Amino acid sequence: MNGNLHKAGDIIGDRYLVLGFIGQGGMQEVYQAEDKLLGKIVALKAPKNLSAQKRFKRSAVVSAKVNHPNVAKTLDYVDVDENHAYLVEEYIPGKDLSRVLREDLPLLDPQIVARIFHHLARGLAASHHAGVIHRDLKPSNVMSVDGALVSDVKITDFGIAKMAEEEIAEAAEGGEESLTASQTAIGALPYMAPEIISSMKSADKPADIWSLGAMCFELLTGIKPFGAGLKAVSAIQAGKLPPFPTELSKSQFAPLAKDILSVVQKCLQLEQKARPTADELVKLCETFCYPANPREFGVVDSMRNAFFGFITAAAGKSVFFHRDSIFGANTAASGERVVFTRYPGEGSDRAFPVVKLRK
Amino acid sequence: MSDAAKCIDTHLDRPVLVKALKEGTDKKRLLDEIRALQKIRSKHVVQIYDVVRDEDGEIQGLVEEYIEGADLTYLNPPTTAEDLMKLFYPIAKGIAEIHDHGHIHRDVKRQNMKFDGEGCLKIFDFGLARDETADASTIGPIGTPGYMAPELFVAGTNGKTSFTTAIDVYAFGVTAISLARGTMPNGLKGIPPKLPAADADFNGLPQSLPPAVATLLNQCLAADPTARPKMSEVAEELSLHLLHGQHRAFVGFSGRLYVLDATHPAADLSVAGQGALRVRYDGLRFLLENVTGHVALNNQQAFNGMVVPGSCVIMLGLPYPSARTAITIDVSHPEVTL
Repeated sequence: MNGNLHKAGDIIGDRYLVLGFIGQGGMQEVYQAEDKLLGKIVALKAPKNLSAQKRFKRSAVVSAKVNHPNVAKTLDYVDVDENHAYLVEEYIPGKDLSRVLREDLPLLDPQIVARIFHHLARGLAASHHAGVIHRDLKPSNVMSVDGALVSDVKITDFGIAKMAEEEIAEAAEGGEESLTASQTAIGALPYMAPEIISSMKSADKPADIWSLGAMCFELLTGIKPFGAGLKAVSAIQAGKLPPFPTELSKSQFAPLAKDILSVVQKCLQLEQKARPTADELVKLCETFCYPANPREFGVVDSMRNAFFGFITAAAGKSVFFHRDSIFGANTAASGERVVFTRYPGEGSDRAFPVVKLRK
Repeated sequence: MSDAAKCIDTHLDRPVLVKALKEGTDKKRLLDEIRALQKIRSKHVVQIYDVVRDEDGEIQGLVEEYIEGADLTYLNPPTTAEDLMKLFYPIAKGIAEIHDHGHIHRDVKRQNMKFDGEGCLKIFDFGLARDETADASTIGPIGTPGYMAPELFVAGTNGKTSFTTAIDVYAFGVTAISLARGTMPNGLKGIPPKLPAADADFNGLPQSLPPAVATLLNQCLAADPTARPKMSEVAEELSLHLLHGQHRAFVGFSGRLYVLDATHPAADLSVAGQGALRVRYDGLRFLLENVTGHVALNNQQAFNGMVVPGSCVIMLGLPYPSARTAITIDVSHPEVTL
């Protein structure tokens, strides 16, 4: 995949050396670049076309207002000439959560979801304190540091959301056909609060809370709570959640999953005033109990019997696991790739939880 | 003394701090050092955005993230042990993260820390490269009197002082005791300080820190740099005590799940003919007691007083082919996000 605007080797604003193309959203292309002055890697965002360009400066100013470890940091804004502007952001090594779901993990274990929920609530609270509403919170707008290991999460594209809103509003005015044609609108729909569906202009802070709740439901269950595509509209307006998957009833994981679900339900209330504020949401998430230890990738050696098995990781001792520690399954086959947290043990270390990666 | 001004970045319409370089800064090495600092991944380190150059391209100043509010110099001392530890924890964590990346801050002090609008502690003003060939008054130890570890006053055979991350640990100790008392203890103001100083004792504070915490903090002020703890150990101990009474253990035994916490602190687990034990929560850790029979924790012989690690499997009974019973214990707690 290549960018249309730049290639590796281009220098922007006498300071940023383009290293490669990272990806694109509806409005912008994103490049990895090296800041030649400070000697660090940054993300360089460029609007795709002139109409996006007009909104770009305002979006940069909006995102620069938010300063929090769980929000991608805005570093610089470069106006090369009236047709070329760039937003420079902190580079986050990893991938967005929609890619993690698609490529690595069909659903995440409650421990990591609790941590993601807590940290995103904190990032969102910081933005609401600054008077900034995201308007388009969804897995593809959350960067996961180290991908499936989820070492950290950061909300991105704060400013872009306002641009997206305008595109969605235009699409909505154009009727169903243009709504379907708008990739941005379709991507946002499963996480969209009911009041936004009624009127794009009514996007306010509670809409972000709804979106965060909808997103965390999907992370926890692998299911978009109201489905995808235009069908989601009526389900959102009814505000009814699907049944909870049975994977989450396994005893080791059930209590935390239940805690998370109860907070998700508070976020997904049709009445805006009934939802917690971001500050209240942070307080709710602070009660979650989860280990925040780092995770690593591994490969299952074998199950020695019905109960135990061993994992080999890139570094360190072999790791013992009990089948009760496997998330969403009762057994693991030799050669299966997993993510786990390591705890010290004699002979072998111990893994908990063990989460299987997609094959 | 520091020449710094709040300015507006007109591109992004946000405040930034523009800071003139201190006298004696080695401009040739400065950029290399700033570049090295960029590798630190810590929410507690202030972001540098840009440099300011004069007509000749010479660096005259730095453009940094602007943090609203006052530094910690005149902060009213917290009145409870918990609030004091909540103040110390992010400072220790931030310095630990700087050390993790192989850096020494060299100028840790109350004046170089602030809480931002979101309550995140920020550490700034690294003791950057100094030009040792410049004006004689700038040669010698770098730092701020009172915060400088005793080894900084001892010149080596080459006439230069050598130091390690332990100077930051010492300066952290001075910062912490000064924050706890509201003023710097007189006993630390000597040049060099005479240690141990009677008025710099974490054990005698009105906030009554837990003894284990006070002892560790006192070690930060040890005269011998090798006797000081690592900054990460201090951060860990503080976070452990901040979570007092909030840990939870899930015990999986015979297909059922038991929850141990402050309200249900103990469980007796036994299988006839295999072994028995009690797991008890003491507010900080889960410990094994009354161990009898054949009990192994993560493949280690279990004993009374053994601490349950974050996650473990306890086996009752002799190894295969005997009958054995597995008990899983998984400890979790709210995350300290200070």
